[in-house]
Amino acid sequence: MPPKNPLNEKGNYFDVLCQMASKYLDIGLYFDGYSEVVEKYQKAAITNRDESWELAKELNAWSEYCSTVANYIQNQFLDAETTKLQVHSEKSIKFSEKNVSAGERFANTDIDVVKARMKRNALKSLYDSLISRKDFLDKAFYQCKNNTQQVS
Amino acid sequence: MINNVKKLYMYASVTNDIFEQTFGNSIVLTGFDDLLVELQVLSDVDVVQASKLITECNSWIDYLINLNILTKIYLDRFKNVQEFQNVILESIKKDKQSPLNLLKTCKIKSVEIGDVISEVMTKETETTEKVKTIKIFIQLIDSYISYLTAIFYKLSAIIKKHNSRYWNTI
Repeated sequence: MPPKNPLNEKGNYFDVLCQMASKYLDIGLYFDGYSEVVEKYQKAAITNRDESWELAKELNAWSEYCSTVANYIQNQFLDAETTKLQVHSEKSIKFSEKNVSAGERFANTDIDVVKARMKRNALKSLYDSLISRKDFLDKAFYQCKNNTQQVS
Repeated sequence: MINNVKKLYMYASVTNDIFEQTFGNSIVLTGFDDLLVELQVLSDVDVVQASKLITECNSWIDYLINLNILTKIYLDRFKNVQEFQNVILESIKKDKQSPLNLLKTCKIKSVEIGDVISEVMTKETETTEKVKTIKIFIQLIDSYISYLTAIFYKLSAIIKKHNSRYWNTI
């Protein structure tokens, strides 16, 4: 199995992505109990029907939760993308009105553009990560569902 | 893919050095090569092993996707540094003198200014190398994610086949 906490006290890569994005969000990110469910899934025995059934229900509920959080983050990310384009365009025109590429290059070094880009990146990364987490949970759900059929 | 894993670990090691120096985070792929070996020797009729490996594949896919997302954020930060260095070099070129000529001139006038320009050029080359390395690492991880996803569905098919046989015998 992959390492649980590859970054030691910082946790795992998802935790770092949450930390990066949390400063731009007005909601808290709560995933208490998620790692326990994943641990149960990773240790689940193929022959235990009851365990597989319970796990399937838990995984499905977590998938729904991740989907809801991802939708909210997507909204924030799209807003951040719009702001980034706005700031970038304004700075680009300010640096060079006639030469687009020169204006863009200089705009990319502007601190406001860098900040807008970082915000967009952090939110997009968290959104992508949540979609990947949902995909993982959906696959795990179907796997557990198959297990319940197998040992009937 | 098993033969390619050495390349992955090599790039992971180089990228890890860059990450640790700059961001204090590290890349950990402990046990990934073991999974690839187990997948290679898996028999199509071993359902118990297939069930164990399908969980491993799914967990590794999620892990690698998160690692790749984080790596892409860091790549963007390096691109930003690269852009900044390019702009400095661009402004030197704007004076209608090549950076090297300017460097020579600067050395006569002021050694310190020459050193600064030289430093920017060296740093720019270093950043370009780092960006290239990180890009290759991202591509390698992407190819392993695709590989594991394909394996996941293959294992799923093995288990389903076993299930249908089981039901047909009742």
